[in-house]
Amino acid sequence: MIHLKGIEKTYPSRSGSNPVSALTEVDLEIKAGEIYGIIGRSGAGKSTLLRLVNGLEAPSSGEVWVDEKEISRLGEKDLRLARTKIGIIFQHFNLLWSRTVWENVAFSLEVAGKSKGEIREKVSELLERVGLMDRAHAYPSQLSGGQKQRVGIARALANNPKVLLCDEATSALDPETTASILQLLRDIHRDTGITTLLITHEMSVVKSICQQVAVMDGGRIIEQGRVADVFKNPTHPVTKQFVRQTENEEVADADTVGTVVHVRFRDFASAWKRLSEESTARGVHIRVLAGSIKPSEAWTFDLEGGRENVAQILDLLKETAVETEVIAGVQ
Amino acid sequence: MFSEVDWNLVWQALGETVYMVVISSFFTALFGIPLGILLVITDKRHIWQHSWLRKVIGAVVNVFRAVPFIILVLILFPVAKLLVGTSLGATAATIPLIAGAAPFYARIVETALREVPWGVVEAARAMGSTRFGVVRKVLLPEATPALISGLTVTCVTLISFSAMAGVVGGGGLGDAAFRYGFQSFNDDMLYICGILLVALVFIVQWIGDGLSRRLDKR
Repeated sequence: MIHLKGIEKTYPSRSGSNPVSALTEVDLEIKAGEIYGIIGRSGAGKSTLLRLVNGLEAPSSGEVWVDEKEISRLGEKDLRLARTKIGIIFQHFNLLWSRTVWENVAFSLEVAGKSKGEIREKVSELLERVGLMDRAHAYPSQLSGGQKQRVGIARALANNPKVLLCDEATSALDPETTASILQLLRDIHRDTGITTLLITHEMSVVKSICQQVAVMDGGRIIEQGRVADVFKNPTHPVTKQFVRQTENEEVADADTVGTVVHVRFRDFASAWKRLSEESTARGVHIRVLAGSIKPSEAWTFDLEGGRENVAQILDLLKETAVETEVIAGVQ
Repeated sequence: MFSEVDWNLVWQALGETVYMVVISSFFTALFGIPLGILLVITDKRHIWQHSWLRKVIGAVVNVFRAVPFIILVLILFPVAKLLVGTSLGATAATIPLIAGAAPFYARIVETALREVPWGVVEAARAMGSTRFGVVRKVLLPEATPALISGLTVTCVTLISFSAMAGVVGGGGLGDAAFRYGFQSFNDDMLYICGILLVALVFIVQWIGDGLSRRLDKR
C-alpha cells in the first residue's frame, strides 16, 4: 500500500554550502491493512518521512508510492485527489477553532466536494463512531485533549481513506487518554482494515498497537521487522535504549522495594549460581521483575537488603555480567 | 450652552463624515484584504510562493504608508477628479482616504493571517484543499476576529483622516469645524464638531469590540 524506495531527502542549509541530510537510503514497504509504527527520537527524520507519504514534502531522490500511485510525480490536481484518500491526525490536532466539532468534520468532506446531504449523513455517522455526537455543536476550545483528537480522527476518516497517518497523535495526551485513543484506532482498524502508519517516540504506543515497526536514527532506518522480533532482540544501541525505556516504565509500575538493576549475562547459569550463594550469605533478597531463560536476554532484578550488602551484590553483578545498569534505588 | 450652533449645518456635516467613513471603510476592506492575503501567501514556503509579486506589493504598500496623509490628499485630489468627476466634496475625499487606509489595513490583515497556526494550513493541504480553499475556508475564517478589530482601528483612523480631508475641501465635520467654527470665531461650532467626532469614534470602537468578541471562539 505504501512503498518508499531509495529515499534521500536533503535540505539546502542556511549558509548554502553543505546541504543538510534529513533522510538517507530509506526503503520501507507497508502492506495493505498493516499497522506500522516508526519510532525514533526527535530529529530522527520520522516526521519528514511521514510528510513524504502525503506529498507535503517531495524526496530529493527515490520514489514514494501510495496505493499504486507515485505521489512524488503526481500533478497538483491528482495529488489533491490522492490526499483525500490519505487521512492524517496530528499531535496538536490542528482543528479549526472557528468551526464547531460538526463543521470541523464536515471540512474534509467540503474539500472533497461532497453534497450537503452526503455531508450531513457522513458527519453524524463519524461523530457516532468516535463517541462525540453530544458535543457536535461545541467549539474545539470547549473540548478536552482526548475529545479534540477524536474530532481529528473523525475528520481524517471522512473520505473513507485507504491510509491513515498518525503524526505523534498521542504525544500531547495523558496516559489514560492515550490508551483510549489507541483503543479507538485499534477498533477502527479492526472494522475497516485501514493501513495505518504511525510515528512516535513512545515505545509503549508501538507495543500496544503496531504489528510492524521501523526504528529510525539520524535519518536512517536502523532496524525493522515484526514488533515482537525487533524488541526481543534489539541489535542497535538506539533500539536497545527504547526497549529499556518501556522496561523502566514497567518497573515504575511494579511496586519495587529496593534497588532495581538491569543485567545481561554472558553465562547465566554460572552467574546465577554465584549470585544466589552471595545473596543468601548477605541476606539480600532478589526478586525477578523481568527475564527470560534465553541467555542473551536481559534480566531485571529488585534487590532488597542492607545498603552495604546490596552494594556488594551490585559489584558482583558488574564483575559477572556483560551489562549492568541500576535503574532505581541505591546506585 | 451651544446657543451659537447652527444645527442644520452640523447635521449635514455629520452626514457627510459618516458617508465618507462608510464608503472609504468599505473600499479599504475591499482592497486591503486581498493585498494582505497576497502579502502572506506569496511569502517563502507559504502556499503560493512568489517573490517578485510580494516585493512589488510590499513596496507599493510601504510607499503609500510612508506619505503623510495631508500630502496624499493634495496629490490625489486631481486623481479624484479623474475617477469620480469632481475634486471637491465628500465623494472626492474618499479617494485619498482609501489610498491612505487600504495599505495600512493590508498590513493589519497580513499580521492577522500570520497568526493562524501553520499546522492548520498544513492540515487543510493534507486533506486535499486547494490554495483558494485554504484562503477562503481556513485563513480568513480563522482570522476573522483579528480582521474585525483591525478594521475597527482602521475605521477610527479614517474618521480622523476624514476631518483632515474635510479642511481641504472634502466637507464633513472637519470642514464645518474649520470654516464655521475656527474661521468664524464660533467656538460652539468648533466644540460640537469635535464632540461629535469623538462620539463617532466611541461608537465604532464599541461595535467593533463587540463583534470581534462574539466571533472569537478560541
